[in-house]
Amino acid sequence: MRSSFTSSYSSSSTLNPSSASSPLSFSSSSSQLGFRRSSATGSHGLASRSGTDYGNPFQRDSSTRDTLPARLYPTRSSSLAGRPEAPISSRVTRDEQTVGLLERYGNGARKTSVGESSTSQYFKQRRQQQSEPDSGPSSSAHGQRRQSLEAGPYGPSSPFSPFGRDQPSSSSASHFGRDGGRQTMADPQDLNQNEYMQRLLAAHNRVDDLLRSRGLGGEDERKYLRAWEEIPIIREERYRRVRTPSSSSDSGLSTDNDSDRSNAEAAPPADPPSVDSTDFFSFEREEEDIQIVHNYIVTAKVKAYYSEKLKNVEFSLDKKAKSEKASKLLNAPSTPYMSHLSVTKAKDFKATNKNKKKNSICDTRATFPSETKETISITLPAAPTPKVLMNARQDLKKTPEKIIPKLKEAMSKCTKTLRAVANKESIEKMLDEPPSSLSVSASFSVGDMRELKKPHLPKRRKTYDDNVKVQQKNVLASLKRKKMNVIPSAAEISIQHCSFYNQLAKDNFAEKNVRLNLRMTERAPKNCSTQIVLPSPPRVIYVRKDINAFYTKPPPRRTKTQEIPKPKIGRLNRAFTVELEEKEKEIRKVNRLKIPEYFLQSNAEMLEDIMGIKNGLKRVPIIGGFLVQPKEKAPVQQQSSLRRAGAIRRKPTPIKEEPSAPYSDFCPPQTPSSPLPRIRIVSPLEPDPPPIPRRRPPPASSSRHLNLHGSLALSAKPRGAAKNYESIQHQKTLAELSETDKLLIERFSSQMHIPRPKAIIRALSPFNAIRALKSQFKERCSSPPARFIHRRAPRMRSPTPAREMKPVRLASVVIVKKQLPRRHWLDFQVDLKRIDFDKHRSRLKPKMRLMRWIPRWRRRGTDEEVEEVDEEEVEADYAPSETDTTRSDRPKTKSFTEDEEGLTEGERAMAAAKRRHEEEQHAKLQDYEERRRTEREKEEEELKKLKEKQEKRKLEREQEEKEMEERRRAADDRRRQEEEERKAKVDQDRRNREEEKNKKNQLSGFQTGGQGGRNFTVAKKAAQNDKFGNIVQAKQEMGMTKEQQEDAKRAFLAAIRKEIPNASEVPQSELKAKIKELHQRICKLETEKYDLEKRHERQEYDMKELNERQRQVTRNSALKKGIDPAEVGNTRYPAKVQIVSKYDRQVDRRNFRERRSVFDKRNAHPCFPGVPPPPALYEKVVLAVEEEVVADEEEEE
Amino acid sequence: MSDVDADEARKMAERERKKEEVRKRLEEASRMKKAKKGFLTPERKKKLRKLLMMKAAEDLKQQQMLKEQERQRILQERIIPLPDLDNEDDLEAVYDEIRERLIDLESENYDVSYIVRQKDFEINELTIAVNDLRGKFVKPTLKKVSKTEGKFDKLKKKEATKVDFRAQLKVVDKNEFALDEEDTEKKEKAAWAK
Repeated sequence: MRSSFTSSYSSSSTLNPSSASSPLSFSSSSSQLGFRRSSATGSHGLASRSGTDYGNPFQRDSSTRDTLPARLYPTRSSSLAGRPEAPISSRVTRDEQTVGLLERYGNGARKTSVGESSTSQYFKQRRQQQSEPDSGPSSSAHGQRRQSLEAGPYGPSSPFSPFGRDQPSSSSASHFGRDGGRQTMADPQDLNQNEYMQRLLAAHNRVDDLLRSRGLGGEDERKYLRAWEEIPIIREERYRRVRTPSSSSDSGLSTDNDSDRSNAEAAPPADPPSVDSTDFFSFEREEEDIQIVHNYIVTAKVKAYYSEKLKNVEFSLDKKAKSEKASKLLNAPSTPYMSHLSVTKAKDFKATNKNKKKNSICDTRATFPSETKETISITLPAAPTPKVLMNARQDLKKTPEKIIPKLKEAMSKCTKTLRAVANKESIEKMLDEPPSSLSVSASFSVGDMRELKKPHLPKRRKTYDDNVKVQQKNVLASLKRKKMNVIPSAAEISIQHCSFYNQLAKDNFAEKNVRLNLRMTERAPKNCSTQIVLPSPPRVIYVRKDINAFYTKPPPRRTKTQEIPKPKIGRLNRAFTVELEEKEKEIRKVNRLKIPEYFLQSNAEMLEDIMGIKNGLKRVPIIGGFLVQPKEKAPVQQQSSLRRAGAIRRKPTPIKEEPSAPYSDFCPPQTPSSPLPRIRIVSPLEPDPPPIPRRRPPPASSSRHLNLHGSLALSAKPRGAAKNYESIQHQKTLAELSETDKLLIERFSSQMHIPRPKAIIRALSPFNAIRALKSQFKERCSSPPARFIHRRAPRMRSPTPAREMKPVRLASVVIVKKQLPRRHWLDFQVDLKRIDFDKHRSRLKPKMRLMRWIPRWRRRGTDEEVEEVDEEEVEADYAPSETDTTRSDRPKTKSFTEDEEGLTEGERAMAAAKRRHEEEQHAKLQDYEERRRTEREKEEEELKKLKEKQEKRKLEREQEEKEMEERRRAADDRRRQEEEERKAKVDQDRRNREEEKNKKNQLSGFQTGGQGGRNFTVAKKAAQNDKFGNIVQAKQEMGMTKEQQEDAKRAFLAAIRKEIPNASEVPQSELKAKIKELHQRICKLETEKYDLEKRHERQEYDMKELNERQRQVTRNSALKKGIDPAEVGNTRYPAKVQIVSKYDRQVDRRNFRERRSVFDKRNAHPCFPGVPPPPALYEKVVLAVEEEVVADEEEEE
Repeated sequence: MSDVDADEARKMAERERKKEEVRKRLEEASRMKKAKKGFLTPERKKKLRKLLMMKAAEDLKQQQMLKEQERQRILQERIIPLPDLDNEDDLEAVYDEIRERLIDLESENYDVSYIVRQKDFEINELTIAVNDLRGKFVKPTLKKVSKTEGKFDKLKKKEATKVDFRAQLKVVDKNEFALDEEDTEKKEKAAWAK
């Protein structure tokens, strides 16, 4: 450690001007490491801790390769470049510093305005480049140039390394280069603005090329911007990103600068005056190259020192140290950052054990992110410079606390910080916003420092809590505030590490500081980028998720711890449940056991009675023996005892089943419960044996009765009484159960009762059991006959039969009584008969009553029937006796009178009574006879009346009939008279009518003769009417026969003759006139006759024509129909229908010759049999026949 | 064979004769038609028609005259003339003869009337039968309606319409009368006022 401290002091003394920048560089490096560790821990967990060393370089490489963070890095690099310039200017000339600041402020204002326009310009140019393919090759050409430049520095770097060893030469060169750069910068400050713009454009082009090579394009940026929900934030980000690519360009420039610097070093001596523009670029690059050279040298030195230390350590430590060393060595040459890591680890080894090493690692990681944050803050306020100053003040304030205990170098640092503070205060006055941010940052910083000092575990938890809190606040606050919050935390952490690294790094302040600053910026933007890219809601989601994860981890642990008791609780519960089940089982068993206990006791008692005292005495020692054995074996052989018990009980189970089928269910559960009570039975049995026999008998007696009833009821027919007993038994059992709430009490009670019979059973098992079975069988045999007896008994004892028995006796008594009066009557014939009537009557009534009340007498009716028969006989006997009495009453009365003289008073009374009775009887008879007479008389009277009525009716009927006949005759006479009168009237009317008619006819005749003119007119009318009248008359006459017609004619002529009087009647004076009249009449008739004749002729003509016309019509119609007109012509009736053809069924009466002739000649006759030949052809035929005959004769010849 | 040929020849000859006769008839008919066409003009037809009608009428008259003459002749023959009643003394005998004669005539007349009646019935039936067979429809006698009457009716209707217009005019007249009355009333008032 001392050697290290000495080396640091030497380094600080050698490089005083770089000391100002050194703390920033260390802080930045620590912050970067912290970020890595934090990310690793979050992602991987504890396991990742061991792998951190390996993971770190990969993360760095990935970060450098990533597009977005690369853009952000260059801004920081540019800002860092700005920082060294500031202290350099301050060191050289204060006036220059102020000028630069003013220029910057003025530039800042311009930049803001220019930035807005510049942003639009850049986007436009980029778009043009992307759109224009021609720009592509130009950009690619630029890229190639840069690549060539980059390749250059690696070559010269190797030669620089040997030069690096020569420290003074390198330091001197660097100083000169720096001064030269400053001079050149001052002159073209105005021009530099234009140059900066050009550089920015070039940087953008390079970035675009890189993106294209990687497959990304400018469009991606637009997409990201569009993703943002908040517009103003996007704008700010755009400005920042615009700067970020400039920073990226710076990073590119840094690489290019290295190459350019190498070329420039070679170039200026060769062609410095030839190219002006190239010269300017070369100058700037030269300055940067100088810085880089210093860094390389520092790295070489550091490696040498550390290597030595490690060697010493190797010797002391074991294999593990070797492995660690190897890893460290491998990592060291790749990057100088690893050297710092190695340093820290070495310290840990020396200071504390392995565990402490891990702790230290965590601490270092935590510190790194804070430093990176500082860099971020620096970049942001490029426009608002006051923010930068505020951050610097905070850092400086923190540093003095640590520096005080440390060396003077710290004091020098304090002085520098005070100067800066003075400048910053002036800036604070100008701006008001910063104070709020300051307050927030201070609070956070304090909490962080205290927590870090605390133990490891709480630190881990607090760290998680801190991260969570920070994230929550970030989410709550706006983006801007979030960043502000983040910045102070970084500053705080940087201060702590500054102290340590100051001591260590004193030797290498200048070199280390410069390099670390550049690289740290890359890490910080990752977090920023991640935050920025994600919208607010997803950020919230991530934060909360992390919190849950952290909280969730401890809960499972707690749950595990809790689970340990929980299963215990569960187990306990299970135990409780098991116990409850056992209790329930015991309770059930107890219920079941109690009943069999009674049975067992009853059996035992029976056996005792049977065996007698001797058996009891024998049992006592046996019981004692059993009791002793379980005591000894109980703790060890409980199971064996259980088995024995089961075996013993199993044997009696069939015995029990047979007598008590319903209780068989209880037997099996008894077995499992048996072991427990047996164990307890041992102890109480010893003191209890003497009181047990005393207690046993009373419950046994009660149990016997109860059991017997139950058994009887079950085995025999069930009855209400039996059921009641059963219910009572059940109730008792329930009450016992309720009483025994406590398990212990039940166990003791059950155990106490149960073992007594069990013990007995054990003793009896081999021999007594058999005896018990036999006894049980005997009992079964005996029980049923007793029942039968009881069944029969109630019938005999019932009250109803008792009633039935009594009347029998009464009946016998009655019979006896009847016999006595007969004897008495036999002695006194007359007296007996008289008395018997009344007595018999009275006796019969009660007998009937008895029959009704007692139907059972009828069942034993034999005696009753006999009695009835006797009574009937008696009655039959009485009937003739009555007649006898009536006949003999008179003589008896006489006899009584005769006897009265000699009889006693009683007899006299009796005689008097008899007389009275006889008198009454006579009176009754007389009354009866009288009544009958009256009735007969009435009847006769009625009959007479009826007869009289009938006679009257007959007479009336006869009279009525006569009257009716008379009336009929009268009516008939009237009718006849009326009819005659009517006929007379009719005849008179007829006569009158005829007379009138005659008169009219006569008058009419005269009038016609008188008036000639009128006669004609009348005739005309008549003639017209006659036409129709003729037709009507013709129809009428058609119906008349010839005879009728002749009669009509005769009547007509007769009438005419009457009209014309004879010659005798007519006077001679009038004869002449009459003759003339008649002559005229004759003339008239002649004319009429002539006219009729002519009309007749004409009618005949008309008839002919009409008939002819009709014939034609019918003929035409027939032709149309296809019928022969000849048939139709002459008839009025319609034509006939031809059913059969004329040529069918014709007999051929021709000779052979005639037939043959038809075929020989055409005109042979006859052609058809029924058709006559025409007359003309007949003549010809004759000739033909002759010829034929000749031909035939010739043929014959 | 000779007989057969002879018969055929006869048939042929007869056929030829018939044909010749038909030809002649046709020729004559054609000649007559030709002659008629040329001979009869419409004027001549009219004259002929008149002449024929005149002749027919004369013939009918003659026939009627003849019938009447026969009727009178027959009646004179049949009817016995009356004897001189003044000269003869046996009037009763004459009376008796005439009476018997009359009765005989009555009987004959009765018989004849009967026969005639029967014939009328038969004729009626036959006429009905013939008409039914032919299916003729007896044309009813239609009334003659003058076209002119319709025209006059139409004119009357038109006049009626005109009358309606006059009625409207009357209404106008009423108004005029009303005005005149009013004028008179005014005059009266003026007088009373005076």
